[in-house]
Amino acid sequence: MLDININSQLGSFKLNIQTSIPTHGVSAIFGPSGSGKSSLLNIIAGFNLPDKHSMNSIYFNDQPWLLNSDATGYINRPIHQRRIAYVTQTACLFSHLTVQKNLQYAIDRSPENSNIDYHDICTRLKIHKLFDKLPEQLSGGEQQRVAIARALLSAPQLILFDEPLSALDEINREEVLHHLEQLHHVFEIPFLYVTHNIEELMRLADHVLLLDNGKLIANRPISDILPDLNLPLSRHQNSGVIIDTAVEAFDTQYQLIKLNLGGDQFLWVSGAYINSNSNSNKNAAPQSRIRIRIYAKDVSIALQAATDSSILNIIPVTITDISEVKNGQAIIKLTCDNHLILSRLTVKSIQQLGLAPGQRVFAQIKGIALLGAA
Amino acid sequence: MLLTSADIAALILTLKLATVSTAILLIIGLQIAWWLARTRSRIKPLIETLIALPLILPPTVIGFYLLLAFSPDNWFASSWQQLFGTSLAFSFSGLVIGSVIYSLPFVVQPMQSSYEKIPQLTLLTASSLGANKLDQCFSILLPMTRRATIAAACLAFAHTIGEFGVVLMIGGNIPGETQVISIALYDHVESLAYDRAHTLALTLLMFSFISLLSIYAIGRRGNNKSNRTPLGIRHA
Repeated sequence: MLDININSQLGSFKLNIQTSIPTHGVSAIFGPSGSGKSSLLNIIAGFNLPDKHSMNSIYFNDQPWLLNSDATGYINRPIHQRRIAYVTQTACLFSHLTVQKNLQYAIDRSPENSNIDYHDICTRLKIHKLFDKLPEQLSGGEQQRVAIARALLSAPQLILFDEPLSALDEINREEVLHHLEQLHHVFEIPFLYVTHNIEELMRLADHVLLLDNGKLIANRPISDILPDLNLPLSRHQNSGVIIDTAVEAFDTQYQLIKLNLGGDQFLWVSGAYINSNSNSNKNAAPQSRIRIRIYAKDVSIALQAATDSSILNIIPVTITDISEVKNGQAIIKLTCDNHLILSRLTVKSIQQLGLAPGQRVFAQIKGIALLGAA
Repeated sequence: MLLTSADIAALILTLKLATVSTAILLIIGLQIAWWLARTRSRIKPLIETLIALPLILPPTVIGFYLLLAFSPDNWFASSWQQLFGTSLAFSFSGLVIGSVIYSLPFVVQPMQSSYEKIPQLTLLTASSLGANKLDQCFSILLPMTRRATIAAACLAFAHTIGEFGVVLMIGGNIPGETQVISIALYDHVESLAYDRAHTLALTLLMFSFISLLSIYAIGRRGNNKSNRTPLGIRHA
């Protein structure tokens, strides 16, 4: 665990966070701009120091990184001894070194017993062709790929990402995001990922820290945090849920994956949703677990199960909560077996159908995105 | 028309003085420039002013104060005497101290302006990859600012060679010990030995021309648009 206890005045901004973050998988720090996401990340990295007058501490798996107590005095583990890697918005490659030498820089300073496979990383991130180029000759996406490879090659205990996709255009963003999705399954290195983009959050995060105005609002698994109507994520325009579920079968005739939701309920996901990567067949293998995303805006509600609809996925659900958002819209929380689904409807539809908590209705799910292995 | 042995001694002494001064200047200049480039201290303008003073002060003013500091009844000179057993006034060590102070702005200013262009995040990234401060200095800072360092070294060297006023005040004129080339030239003119003066003057002129030419050639080689004047400062 990464145990954090920060209570610090940073200029005019106050950061006050006491929490523990899992040191496996991807933990995202999410919040609006100015909520203290990057400040928190910089303090964890050691790039910024909290004020010395307050009692702050950071422990990484019981290794003290920052400690300020009466008993021990002030301990600040130097950045170069924390064994972290930091990937920034602007890649921050060393401009005087070629791509290969940038990578070598990390390897030369990595611990001797690290078993990081240089060629594997370069192949995965497709950077063999870039070796002899200087950073200024690379596109934004290429720079970011090299920065990620360099981070992995330093064999860190933790990789910190500060909005690594925010400076990229749509095409490069998608490509780098795809790489990040693949990498965090392959490597056991924990990621701590700062973002204000809900799409990145849904695709990458296993665990979320929600920040607002320097304070921690929630710290929970992603599947738990997205459907919580008391939290701002559920009211986001692109709100939705992440469900980790088991593959029941693959229908070769229609190219559809059958997913078991439990309680004899199934969802059909088009094979076309699978990204064209090498893992696609493995994803669809029966009994393997995969992660899907359902946007609230793709879920509508009917009082009866329609038999004359083109929508493939119509499942019985129970309304557990209704929360009005803005512009005459509302978010409805639904349960199916033990899974939660959100639906975004207009307040008018809710009144016309007379929807209320406790009611049993049918959720019509128009789109399901397959995000990859769970 | 060849250089006499006295002239050659003055030339060698001058080169030795310039080499030693340049080496010292690079070491302390790097640290001062780095501090100035990164500090948010309120005394930064004060330090910058002190370092820049030799740019506008007549060298004789600096020489005069150094002469006072080197006089045996001064605490600085007497503690130096106790420490090293030699006097500072009219000595090679005294000349080195004078040259370092006199040439300091020519080293600090180009270094500082190049260090200010290195993003803080670049060095922090290096440290996160496991580089300590010394490692960062040799693997990032110096390679990235190579041109500025070369320019600073050339300037320090050339400027020390051309020094006259400070040396005149604190060096005396002891052949082989404190008589540098510019003083020797002055002597030749005083004693109406114009041939020898010509030879020395031409040597000095050629040297200055070649060193400046090489600095500007280095400056041209890079394509750093923000640094069109490779020296980063105007020569007074």
